[in-house]
Amino acid sequence: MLPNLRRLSSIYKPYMGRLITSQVLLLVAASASLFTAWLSQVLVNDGIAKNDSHTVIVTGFWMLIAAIVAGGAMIGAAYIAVFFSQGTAYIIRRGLYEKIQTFSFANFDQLRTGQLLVRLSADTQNVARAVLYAVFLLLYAPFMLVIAFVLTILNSPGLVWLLVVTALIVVGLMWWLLPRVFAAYAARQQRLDDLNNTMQENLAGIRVVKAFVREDLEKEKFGVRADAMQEMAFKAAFLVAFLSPLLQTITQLGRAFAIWIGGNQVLGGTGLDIGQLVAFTQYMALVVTPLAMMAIVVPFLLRGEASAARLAEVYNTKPLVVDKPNAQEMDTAAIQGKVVFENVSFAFRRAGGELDPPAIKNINLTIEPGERVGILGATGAGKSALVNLLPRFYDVTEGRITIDGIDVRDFSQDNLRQVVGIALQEAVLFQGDIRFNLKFGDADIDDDVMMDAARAADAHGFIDNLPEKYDAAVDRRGYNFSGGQRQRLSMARAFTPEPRILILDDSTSALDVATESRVQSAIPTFSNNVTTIYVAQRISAVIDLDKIVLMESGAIVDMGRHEELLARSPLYQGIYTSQLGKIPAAPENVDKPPRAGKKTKNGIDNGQDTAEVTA
Amino acid sequence: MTTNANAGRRKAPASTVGKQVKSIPAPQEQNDNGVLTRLLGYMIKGDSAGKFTWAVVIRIAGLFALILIPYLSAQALNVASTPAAQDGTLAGQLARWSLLAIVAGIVSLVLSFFADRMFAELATHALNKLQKDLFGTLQTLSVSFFDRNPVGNLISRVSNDSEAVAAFYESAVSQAIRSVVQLLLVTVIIFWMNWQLAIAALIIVPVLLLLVNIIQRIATPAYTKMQEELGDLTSFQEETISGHKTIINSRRGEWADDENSKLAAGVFDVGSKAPSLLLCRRR
Repeated sequence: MLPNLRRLSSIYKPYMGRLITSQVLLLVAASASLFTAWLSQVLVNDGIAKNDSHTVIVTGFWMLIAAIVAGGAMIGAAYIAVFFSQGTAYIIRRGLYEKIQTFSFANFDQLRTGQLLVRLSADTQNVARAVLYAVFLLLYAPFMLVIAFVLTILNSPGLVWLLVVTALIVVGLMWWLLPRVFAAYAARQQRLDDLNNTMQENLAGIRVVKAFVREDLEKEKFGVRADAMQEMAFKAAFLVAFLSPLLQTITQLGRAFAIWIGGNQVLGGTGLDIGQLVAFTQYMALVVTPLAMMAIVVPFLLRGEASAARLAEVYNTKPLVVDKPNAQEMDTAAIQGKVVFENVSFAFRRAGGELDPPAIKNINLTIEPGERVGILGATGAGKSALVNLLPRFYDVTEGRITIDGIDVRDFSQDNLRQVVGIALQEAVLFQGDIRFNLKFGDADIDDDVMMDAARAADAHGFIDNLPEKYDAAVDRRGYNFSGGQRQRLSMARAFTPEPRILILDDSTSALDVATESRVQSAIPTFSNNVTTIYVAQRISAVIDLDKIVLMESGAIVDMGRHEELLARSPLYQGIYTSQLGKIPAAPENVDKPPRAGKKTKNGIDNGQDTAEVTA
Repeated sequence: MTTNANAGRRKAPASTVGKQVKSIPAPQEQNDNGVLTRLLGYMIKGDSAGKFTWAVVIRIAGLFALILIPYLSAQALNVASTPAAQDGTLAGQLARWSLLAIVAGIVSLVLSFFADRMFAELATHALNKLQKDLFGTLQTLSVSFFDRNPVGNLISRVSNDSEAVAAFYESAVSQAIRSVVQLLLVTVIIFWMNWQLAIAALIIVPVLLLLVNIIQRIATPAYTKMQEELGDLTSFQEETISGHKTIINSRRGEWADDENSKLAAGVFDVGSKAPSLLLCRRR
């Protein structure tokens, strides 16, 4: 019963004292309530019926005391229940988030941001609410139920069977109904997950949606998800709503039957008197309270169980990239930066664990220390997938990647990412200030190094123009900066820790060609002999590099300098023509590629003066 | 569950963390009645008006049948307590009153089935319309709105608050109608039976209303604060989970954990105070 909620019980071990206190308080409250019911009988039988004012006053006083005790005990129990509920939410929010921090990139492909956020918010709330009611009514309802049965047995043993039958009908109905309520809630939460995921994706990409006027299509997509959720939400809401009147009516019917059957016994003179019959109906009413409570609480518990199962799914997820037990800690300063891809293949993994068709096929590539290599190809060619393998954002499916001859899987991930720095395609900044963001990879780095990195990324200029300079505030996701500024800050952040191997994953896409050129020129001056890998769709981003790797459909189709590829590769020629205009006459000297900074803006921008670029 | 919400924050971003979300007015700052009226509009107006009217009528009929049960049972008890116990006609009267009570119970159950079904349909339909309207409105807002309001905060509103709205539609509206109608019917019946006792029984109602009002005055600001803290937490989680690649790459998982713990502790500190007051009110 409720296995996922029960898993949480281990976190309460240090707080058993509070838990016991809360349950004792609830028992006190329940006892006081039962005492009040007993006092009311005394009040009627010995006070009102016998016209004894002294008994009326004394009994009334004790009833008042009992009510105050019950109320006070309930307040104390409520306070403790809230402590457990909020404490559970706090522990889940911490624990789940810490678990998420252990995930590798591949885990995030399977559990998307929207799904994780729903688990951290709505599911956590559901579990907290379930804990609240469980702690608040853990013993209260069963205690009331048991005492009511005992009192019935003592008072009207001949009618106990009717109480048992009524209770069995109620339990049977609950047994039949509750799994259906649980299933309906689980399905509802799943549909809610889809809905929130759609919303999250839409909001995260709202600028793209607006740029491409996709609002109506997005609304249609959301509408389909909302309708799907409505279907399940209706079933869950109806079953829960009907549960309470169903139990109430069954109990009332039980009382009516009791009066009919018991009344006949009274009329037949079988030994049962009218007082006992009235008392029996009162005790039956005492059974109603815990049953009604259960009817209210059980849906919360079931909803909490469904949510706890979804939280357990995250807790049980294992990081797909892990360190070897004997992972090496390399001296990063000693790394030369030679990168070799040996027969590397890679396929993304689906949520079920099965592999997609390979995104990378049999890649063999050697990058010498300090070499600047461009990886060029259309969307979906496998460029980003390839470079993501180097810092082990994903692990290769076949083959291996080495740095200075050491398999990257033999490094610890922490150590490896000190060696390999990456400026990602999406420029993500965090709320804080510019200094915090630039030193994100290494908080202890000198300000001078940080500023040099900013200069190399062509960011120092606009930062210096801000009133607060490097202390200027950055809003969440850096939305108070333009796309180009965000990319430059993101690159500066990648440069700041001075990695031996630097990957720029299409991270200059939002820059104009002149800025891109300045950045490329500045990188070698900032950090000598850094092995640099540029991933790009724009030919202007790689035209000056030592080597260009041309990719298509996950494989390398050609490799060489710009002039070589322009001379022999139809694919490269096609890209060149589409981006820079017609192909110039055959270059005079293909052995001497131009270095960064020698090309002219005009030559790259319009492609009309490319002889100057390649000369 | 020991927390330390105010422990030393990290150096660089401390000055600006949380500033953005504070600029969004919390729901409680708005006119509560106006919000409730608007929310109700989704459930009781337009194409739902007819069904809502029928649902209320069926609910009233069902409650009337339900309230008849104790009355009919009392009549049966009166018969059973008649001294002439050997009179055969009494057994017939007892059976009649008891059967009437049972029939009333069955009628009440059937009517409740239809009323609950209709209310569930109305509630989920209203939520569906509200979700679509909300999403549609978000699509019409300018990009600058999304610059000012972090996605995490909006997601927090949509996921957390829409659950609260769902509870309002699925439970609160139907329950409120049920309670009000039941209270009115019971009041009428007890006044009809004995008006002096009825006044004595109802004299506690103003005191209860006063107590509820006092607790609400204390609890509502606490809830507002909790929603703000929760908004901060969700915004941070959204920002860092969306930016997980950068965090993984920069090896800043520990920083993210620490920040998350501080924000979660803030929610815990405030959250431990607010709901207990409302829970006491509910009891």
